[in-house]
Amino acid sequence: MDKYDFDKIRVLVVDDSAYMIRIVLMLLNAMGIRQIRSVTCPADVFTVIEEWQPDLIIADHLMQPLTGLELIKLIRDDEDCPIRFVPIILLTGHAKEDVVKSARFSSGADAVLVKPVSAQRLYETIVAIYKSDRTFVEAKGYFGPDRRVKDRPFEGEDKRSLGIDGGADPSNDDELVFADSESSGAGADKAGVA
Amino acid sequence: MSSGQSGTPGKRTPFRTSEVKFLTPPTGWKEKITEGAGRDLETIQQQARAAMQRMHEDYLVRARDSLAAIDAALAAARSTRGVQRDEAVQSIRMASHEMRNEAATLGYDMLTRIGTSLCDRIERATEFGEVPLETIATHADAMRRVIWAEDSGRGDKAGKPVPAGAETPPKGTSKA
Repeated sequence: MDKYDFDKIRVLVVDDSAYMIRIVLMLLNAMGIRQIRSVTCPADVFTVIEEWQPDLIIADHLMQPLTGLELIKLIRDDEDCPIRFVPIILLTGHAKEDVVKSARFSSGADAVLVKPVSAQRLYETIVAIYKSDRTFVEAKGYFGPDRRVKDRPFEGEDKRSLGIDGGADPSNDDELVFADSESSGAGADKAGVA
Repeated sequence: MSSGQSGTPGKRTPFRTSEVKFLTPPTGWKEKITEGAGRDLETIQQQARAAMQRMHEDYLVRARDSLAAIDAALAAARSTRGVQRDEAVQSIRMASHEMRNEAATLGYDMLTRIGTSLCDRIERATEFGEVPLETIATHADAMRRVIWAEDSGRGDKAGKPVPAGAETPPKGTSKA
């Protein structure tokens, strides 16, 4: 059975519910993670980042005065942030598909988990991020993990040089690709990606 | 040409590949993780369950703390108006929310139902007007009676073990 020693990583938990923080801390402790800090006010995150530089952030979605999505965007968009590439897991109580999809594709989170979160689910998510060699994408309006999770072959006609919204110039060598919350992500220059 | 990510589901916004950079993130944090050492998943689940059992043992202490917070905020709401009253009501919602989330996780069904009812009424009232403070007081009294019954061994949870799989909070009880 696979085993991972997480003893040396630093994890920051951000949630305005003391109860949810207690639950997440309990799950992290069960995994053998000891270096944990938690904040109930998302605005305090940046002080912790400056002082402590966590290796992983687990943040709730619906918080005041910043939502989890806004928090992630602030971290990702700040070129001076010392942990701009830090893996971030977003927790949400919204099981609604559009909210999860938006979080997944727009926020720059590495993973989105819908509550309730089990020990197994959190563990498998951290391991998946650890094993992933996903690159980051920097495009206008988005900085974060490459949102393509599969690379499937496309057998249809290549229409990318035909022009979109009258804005394409077929003579331009640049390929047109799409940011699309339904199909591909920013920089998705391969058809059929999930 | 506009570019960037689309905030509207289904809205397709073209990028040019020259506007997109692919960067390799630093892997320093991965070097802190040792494969083949540490705990396996089964051990992790056992540890989580044991921790949940410990949370169960002192739950009623925390429930009383939440109820005390509700009582204090209710007193504040009764003596104020406007924004201050709204803030007091929202702190009642938060305390009730905390109490019912944990109650649901640990199997205190009656406290879960009362807490959920109070949260729902406050959330609905936030949209359509003010929640009557007497409604909050009625819920607080009901919580008090249930906690008293649990304390004296006559509650719906008394003597029951933590439910199997309790390291996972039940669906619909975590914060939206």
